[in-house]
Amino acid sequence: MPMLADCPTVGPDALLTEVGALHDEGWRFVTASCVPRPGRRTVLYHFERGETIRHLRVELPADGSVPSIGGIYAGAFLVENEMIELQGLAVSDLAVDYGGRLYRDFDGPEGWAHDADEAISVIEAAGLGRLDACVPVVDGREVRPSTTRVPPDPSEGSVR
Amino acid sequence: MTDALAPTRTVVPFGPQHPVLAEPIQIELTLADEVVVDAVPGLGYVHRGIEAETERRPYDEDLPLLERVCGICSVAHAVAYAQAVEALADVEVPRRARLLRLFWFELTRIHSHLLWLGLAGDAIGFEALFQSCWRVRENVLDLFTMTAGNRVILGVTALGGVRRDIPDGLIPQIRAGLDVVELGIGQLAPFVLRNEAVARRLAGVGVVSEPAARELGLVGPTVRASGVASDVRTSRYGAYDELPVEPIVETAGDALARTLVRWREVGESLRLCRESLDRLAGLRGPLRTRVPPVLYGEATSRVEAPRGELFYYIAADGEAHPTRVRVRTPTFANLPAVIHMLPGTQMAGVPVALLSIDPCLSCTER
Repeated sequence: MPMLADCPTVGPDALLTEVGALHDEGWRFVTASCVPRPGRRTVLYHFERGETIRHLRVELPADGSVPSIGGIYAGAFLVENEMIELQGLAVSDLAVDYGGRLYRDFDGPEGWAHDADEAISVIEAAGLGRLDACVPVVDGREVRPSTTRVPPDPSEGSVR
Repeated sequence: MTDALAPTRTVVPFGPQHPVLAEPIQIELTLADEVVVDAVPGLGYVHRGIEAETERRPYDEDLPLLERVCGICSVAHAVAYAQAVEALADVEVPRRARLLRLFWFELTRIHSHLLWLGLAGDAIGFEALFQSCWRVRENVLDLFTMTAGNRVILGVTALGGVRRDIPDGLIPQIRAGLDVVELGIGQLAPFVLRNEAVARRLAGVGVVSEPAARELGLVGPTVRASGVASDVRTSRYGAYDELPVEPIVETAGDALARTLVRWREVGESLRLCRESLDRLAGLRGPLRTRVPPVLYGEATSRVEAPRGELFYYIAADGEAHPTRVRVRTPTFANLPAVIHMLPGTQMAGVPVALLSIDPCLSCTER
């Protein structure tokens, strides 16, 4: 079974020390990958120098967290914010914290919602369920994804 | 300085819709009068959840999905994903397939750089350059149509090899097409390399020094224009082991340097296309190796896409679909450059500075 070569496992407490050492040795931070699995997560940090790739692996329980490496590699803030939003990873001491708003995923009837509670209140205030809020409404009628044209107004009677 | 003379601070939302942007991104600019003092990018306008979708499909069905991460560098995504799966399966790609991949890959680079140069011409108000570049790019798209049957999403890559072949009888026509492209590029050269309007609008804009480029982990033409000879092709993946590449480097670190790097790379890609055709002519052999449908383990893959290093990580837990597919695109790595280069830039220089990293937001957001 192929596994990543040169990929030592480190604890979250030792992560910053290890990453700092790689930085001092001239390794470029490529990206990080978060792999959620039932009851646990694996976070991999990928580095490159010359034509060589190496990795650091952090194994975490589902509710575990890792410290931000943004203080060592300035370019890491985007992927750290992304892992928070898309994989639900907890990252502490973020260098640049988007507050869960890197990916602006909800444009509610009242404009941008800035957190989950606000998004829910906006949806509820409009009398909508979450999925309903994603359905475009044209002339008061919903246009579902499978629909290529605006459906007829029911009040006008059945059409064909 | 009295308060009346202090610079006025204004926050300007740049995008998500802006004439210079082909795709949506919002950059929240804080200005002191006309000078940028802070820039914060915001994403999410074209996020499609492709990574999550790959975890529900078989490996071979993920390939056409991942090709559609980006319409411009679809070959790069397909090859990067296929290489990672092939590493998981521990299979070797036939030589003919590796050369075919390289041919289409380098043709993609030419088309991508010409597309960008046209957009850059449009951004600086040089519309004749825009039209001329895209006219030459049409010749490249004709070559795509001739060899792959499609203009943009080629669909030529397969796990373990390629899905299409280029018959020997077609090679003279392809060579003639490459000559047309080269002629068109030669006619464009005075308007790119010796044009005062281009130099004035691009020189000194969006400067990233070599130490900053290294520190931020930039990739592709953006980092090479800052004097760093970084190019994944030097790791000799695929057919680059028999067709080596020397990184093209400039040192000024500004938008003009990035333009010159891409310009010179077009010539290098033409050479690679021709040399791959030389090797393909008369070469016989299979086009693909079988890849089993169930895989275990982890693998990474890197390719040099037109915008820079494209990185894939795949985790497989012995099911018919991957457990995780992670895609790190070049623009994702180069966005920190925007945050670095914009402070100190005049508001009027922001579009050119942003465009100079050749941002691809569909790639970035996946």
